[in-house]
Amino acid sequence: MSNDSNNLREKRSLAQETPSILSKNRTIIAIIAFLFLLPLGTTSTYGPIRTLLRLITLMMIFGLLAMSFDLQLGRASLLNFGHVALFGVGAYFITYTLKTNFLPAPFNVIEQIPFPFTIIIAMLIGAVLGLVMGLTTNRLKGTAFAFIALAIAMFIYNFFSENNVISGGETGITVPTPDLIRTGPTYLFFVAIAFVFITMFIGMVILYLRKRTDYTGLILITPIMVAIAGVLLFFGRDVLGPVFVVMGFLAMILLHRIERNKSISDPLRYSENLTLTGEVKSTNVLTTYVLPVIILVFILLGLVFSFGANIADMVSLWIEDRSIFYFTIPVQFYLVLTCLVIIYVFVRRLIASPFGRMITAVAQNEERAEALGYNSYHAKIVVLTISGAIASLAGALYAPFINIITTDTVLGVEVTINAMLYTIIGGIATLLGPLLGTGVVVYSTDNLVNLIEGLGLPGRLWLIGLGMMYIGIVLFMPLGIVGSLGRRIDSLKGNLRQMKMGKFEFGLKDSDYWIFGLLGAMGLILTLSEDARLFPIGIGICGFLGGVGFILVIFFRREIWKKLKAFSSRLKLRLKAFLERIKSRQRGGN
Amino acid sequence: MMVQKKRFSPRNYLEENPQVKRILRFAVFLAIIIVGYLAVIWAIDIYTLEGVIIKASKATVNGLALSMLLFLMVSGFYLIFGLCDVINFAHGSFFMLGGFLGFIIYLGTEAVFLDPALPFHLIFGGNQYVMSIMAFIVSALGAFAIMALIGGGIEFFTIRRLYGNSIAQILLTVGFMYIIAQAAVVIWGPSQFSYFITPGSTSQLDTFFMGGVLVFGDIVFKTYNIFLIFLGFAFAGLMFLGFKRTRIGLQIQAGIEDSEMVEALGTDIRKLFTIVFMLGAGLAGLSGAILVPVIGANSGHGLTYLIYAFVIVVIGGAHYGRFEGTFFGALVVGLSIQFSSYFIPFLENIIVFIIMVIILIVKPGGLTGHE
Repeated sequence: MSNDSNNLREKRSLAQETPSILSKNRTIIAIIAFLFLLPLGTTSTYGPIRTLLRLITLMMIFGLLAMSFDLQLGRASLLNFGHVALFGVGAYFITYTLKTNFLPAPFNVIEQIPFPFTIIIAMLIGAVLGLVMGLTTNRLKGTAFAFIALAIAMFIYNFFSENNVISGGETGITVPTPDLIRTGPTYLFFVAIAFVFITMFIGMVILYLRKRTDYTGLILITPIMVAIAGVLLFFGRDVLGPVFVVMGFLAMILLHRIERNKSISDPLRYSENLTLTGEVKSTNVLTTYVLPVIILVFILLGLVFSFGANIADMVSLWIEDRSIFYFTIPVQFYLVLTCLVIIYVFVRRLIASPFGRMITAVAQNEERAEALGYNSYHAKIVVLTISGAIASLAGALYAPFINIITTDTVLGVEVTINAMLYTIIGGIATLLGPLLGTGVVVYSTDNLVNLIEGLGLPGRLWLIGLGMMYIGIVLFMPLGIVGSLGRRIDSLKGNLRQMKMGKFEFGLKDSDYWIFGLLGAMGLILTLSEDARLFPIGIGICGFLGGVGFILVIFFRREIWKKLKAFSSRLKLRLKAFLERIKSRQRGGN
Repeated sequence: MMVQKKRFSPRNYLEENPQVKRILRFAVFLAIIIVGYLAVIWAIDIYTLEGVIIKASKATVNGLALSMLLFLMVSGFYLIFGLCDVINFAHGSFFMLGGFLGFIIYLGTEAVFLDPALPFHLIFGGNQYVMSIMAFIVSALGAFAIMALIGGGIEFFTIRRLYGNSIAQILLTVGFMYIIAQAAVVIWGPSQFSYFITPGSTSQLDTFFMGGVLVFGDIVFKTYNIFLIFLGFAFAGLMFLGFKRTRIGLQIQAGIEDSEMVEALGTDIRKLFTIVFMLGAGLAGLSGAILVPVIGANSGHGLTYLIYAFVIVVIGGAHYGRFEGTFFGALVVGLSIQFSSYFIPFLENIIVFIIMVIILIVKPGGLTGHE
């Protein structure tokens, strides 16, 4: 009895906490919802969006690998040169379960395991290998650990490259796409998940609007809604969709007006109603229930109208001919994205937990952590096990995605070096860094050739360009993209809190930055797809961000001018000292 | 309050009981002798006595030559890694670039020597053997100088800003590795092409001073391999003397063991870093030039030899290690590769890693280092 009431209380508290969960992770929810929205645009015919989806899928798979690498390097400061082994065992295991009659008799039992469970078993295998690597950390630290891991990776590499029966020799193994990925119901299942995330996103926007009752909120929300309407206009098939989104936006403006009037007419009572997270405990039925439901229904109807034809097309295609591969790309995208979201949330919780703090303590000063009573050996083993499971998951997703694996592509030393580069470029010990670094490197490996040929140089120089890029990043952002920019942004945020332009006063609060995150992600992803129809949206987004930047420059013109002056004077001083040194040396020589 | 449980550690146990340690050491010694004896008997049983002698002598000579080859290359890597604490991923590329530089300088020098307009034929008197020796020395020294300049430039302009941030250094050196490797591919073609100094075809001279083979009965050795062994030993001796006798060598050796103390005693450690970086890169170039007659100049050598460099330095003792460690590490690696390729071919690729694992588990700091 008491147990039941406890459960009830938990459920109720979960329902009450939902708004605060939504408002705490605005950027993440917005970006995830946008990524879930993208594949709905795939039609049954060929379209450029498929290329885009494949590219993003590849980025996300390697992003998982980089995240697992960062868990070791950034959190536990374990440099692992054998990381590729964890990736490779996952890839090979999933291959053996998908390919029928490939392994000799006693081992081909694993073909009987159905597909989604094989991913979990692959993760378990990776975890066991990570555990084996972790067992050596008792005695070996730093470089010695890195090389023991390298030796383990080399043993596995040699085992596979010497046995052509199980690795397919030079040409590698072709990996069939799992049947489950090609079915209509799976697609519909993921579409349902997409709608759940989009609903969450809209709820988050509504909560945000009710909190930001000044004009800044409305100004900032406009480009988002315009961009969403634009995306629907270009990806969807029906003009009715964007119209509904615009109607939803009008409802949002109405909601904003009502909340604003209330906050102005009775500010004291309004502020009493604010909760800790900033939501309004309103008793007004109109703004709490009626208008949000109307907005939600409008925008979801808009989505259904724009993408309904696409979804129906895909499903009817599956009913007509079940051997067709049209589902593979969006469903694979959804699968990888779902895994990435789960792993991201998991890693985030892990790092914020007491155990995560303990790992950081061990990484920063092992002796001190041991003196405080923590067992550093166990901490490292657990980190390596978790990281092994994640890396193996990346491998298990990679093999069916790329469809052909050789020992060099899934077990070669280059993969470790690449994972290391992704992590370091993005910034170690940051959550988004490895993902962003992977995106940057994968995109530039694909497109540097075009860029260099566009400059009139031979395309063979692309690797040189990549090397230059690495050196530039290291010299100007020694902590990686996210790590170095994060520090500057923190100081900028304080300045942006209160701004004044003439009579018009406004300020950006911490709760506003998700808009820039989402717009940046949208702009990046839309420029990734080389579709001419999408350029207006991309240009619009860039224009908005550029406009904001311009306003900032105008606002901070005195500070910028001061800094420039200081920089030039410093440069002059240094040059003078250098010249004087040369002169004195010449004099001394004479 | 968490109380840490005392873990059972074999090392502590052995230190508390010296008698057990002595017995254990004796037992391990005995076991190694017995295993070695059994291995020899097994080999004689399979290959016959004569076959074993031939194979063993070939493996010894080739293994020593390979060891010296690796030692020449790794000594530079060891210096940079030991003193500056930079894991130099570009070292393999320096080595590869040194090979190409040596090749080009050799051909250029002999063209100058053979030019009738210049007075060199008066000095050599048409003796092409001496010309070949001189061209070889010039090529080695030229590669050393150019690579030292390149390495010093890289240290001065980029790495100098990043001491203490070892993660960023990795990214930086990988960037240089890509640039050099791709530049070599663009200029000299992909790794399918190897460039050798061949008298009569690539080289204009009709002889190379260490070409050809030596024949002892059934056993055939390349002359250059034997030359390489002597050269390597001479080189090691020279470097050893340099570390023991010269001031800068002593400073470097001390800096590897404790750089803060050296700095406190009044040495400009930044300057020392630059010098060591130049020396390391120069040694890579020199070894590349010397090894052109053995392995050729090839744009794919960068990554292949980089992993050997890692392994040897780790076996020899990376941090706080001594210079001799690298020498013995190279000996162990070279000999074990050749012996396993003659006697147990299926282990050829991984024997190095097996040995490395054993050494690291027994002595985590490597042969000469301590934890």
